[in-house]
Amino acid sequence: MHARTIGDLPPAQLASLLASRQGLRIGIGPFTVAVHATHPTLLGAVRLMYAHHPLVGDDQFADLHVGVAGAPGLRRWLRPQVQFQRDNEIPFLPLPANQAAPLLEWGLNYAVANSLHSYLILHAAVVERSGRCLVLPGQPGAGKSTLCAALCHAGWRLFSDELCMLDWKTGQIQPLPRPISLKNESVPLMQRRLSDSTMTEVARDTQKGDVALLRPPKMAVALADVTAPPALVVHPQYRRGAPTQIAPMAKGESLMGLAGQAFNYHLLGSLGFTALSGLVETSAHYSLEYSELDDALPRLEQLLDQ
Amino acid sequence: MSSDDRKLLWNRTRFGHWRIWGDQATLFDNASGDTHLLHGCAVAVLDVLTQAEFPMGAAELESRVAQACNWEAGTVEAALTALCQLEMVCTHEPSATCHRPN
Repeated sequence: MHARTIGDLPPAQLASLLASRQGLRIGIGPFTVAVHATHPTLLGAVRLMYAHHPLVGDDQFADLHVGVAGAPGLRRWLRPQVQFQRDNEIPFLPLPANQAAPLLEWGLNYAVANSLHSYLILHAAVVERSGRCLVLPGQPGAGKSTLCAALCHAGWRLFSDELCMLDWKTGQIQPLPRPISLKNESVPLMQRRLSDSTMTEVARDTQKGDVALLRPPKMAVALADVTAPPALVVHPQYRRGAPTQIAPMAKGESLMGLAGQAFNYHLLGSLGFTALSGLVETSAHYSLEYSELDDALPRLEQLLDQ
Repeated sequence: MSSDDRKLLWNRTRFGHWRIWGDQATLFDNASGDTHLLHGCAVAVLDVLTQAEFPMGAAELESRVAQACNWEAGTVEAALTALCQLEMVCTHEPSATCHRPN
């Protein structure tokens, strides 16, 4: 039987579920996320971005409870704001209402990184091809989301543009396909390059600049239960006008870079080190400087095939 | 050759998890949660000491490391001093398993 997806829901029912006490239950691979939202700007974005994700019954356990609601106070009449909530915690300051959709994604990243500790969670994009994962760790602005978006529209499977979920018991990477967060120059670039894809409106002047969300491919969502091992770690750095340069990287240096991008490494202690060492051991490691996607993408394909 | 007669051992209680990849090694500090990257001669010291079944005399250690990697004795001694200061290598005493060397 065809599983019901978020996109199948009539708008009124979607709004009703988002406003309900149980929340809208979205299946993302093995996880269930209960989303609570009453702010009208979010309804369209959730429907658009999670259209392919399965709707989970409210009798199922939710791994995460997150919400975005209008911020209280007089300001709501002048410059409406929204705030993110995880369980009973409000971890961020309120943001302008036009940033509700990015705020939900940023908040979800925060919730995952602070909750799902059966994984070593790295700040890295992950895509897969031929059953092997390419891990792209990096600071904001390194260009990993841009690479990730381009790769997953060029035959690679999206795991995540932000969070590498390494199962420290098995060494496998768990997909977490969610909207890809494109920023600044990457937004018009991808609007031109992926003209048949679905994106939200651009949220201007956020703390990360201009932000638009790109809907994850249907195939990636459908295969969200299918894990894969790491095979290639590439530390990218976007630099405007730079020629594509790829250089081998020593495993020790790569591990240090990955450890610096881990959210819960200190929490896991030696388990985290052992898991990360396993990832490093079984992967090839490179640094990449790039500015042209058409030049960088084939090089990454070659590296994975080597 | 050093006249140092200390018996040395790797501090496995604190630095019990490590990986060696060529001339680099990473190791985890159980006390602080930090991860360290070692290069060159320090890796050879780690390799020799962690393979030793018993605490090893400093002079023998320096000799073995120097032979294995063609390091000059002075370089080995400097690496050993640094590792001792970091409490990765410690002095064996029958009554105490590990302490900072003088």
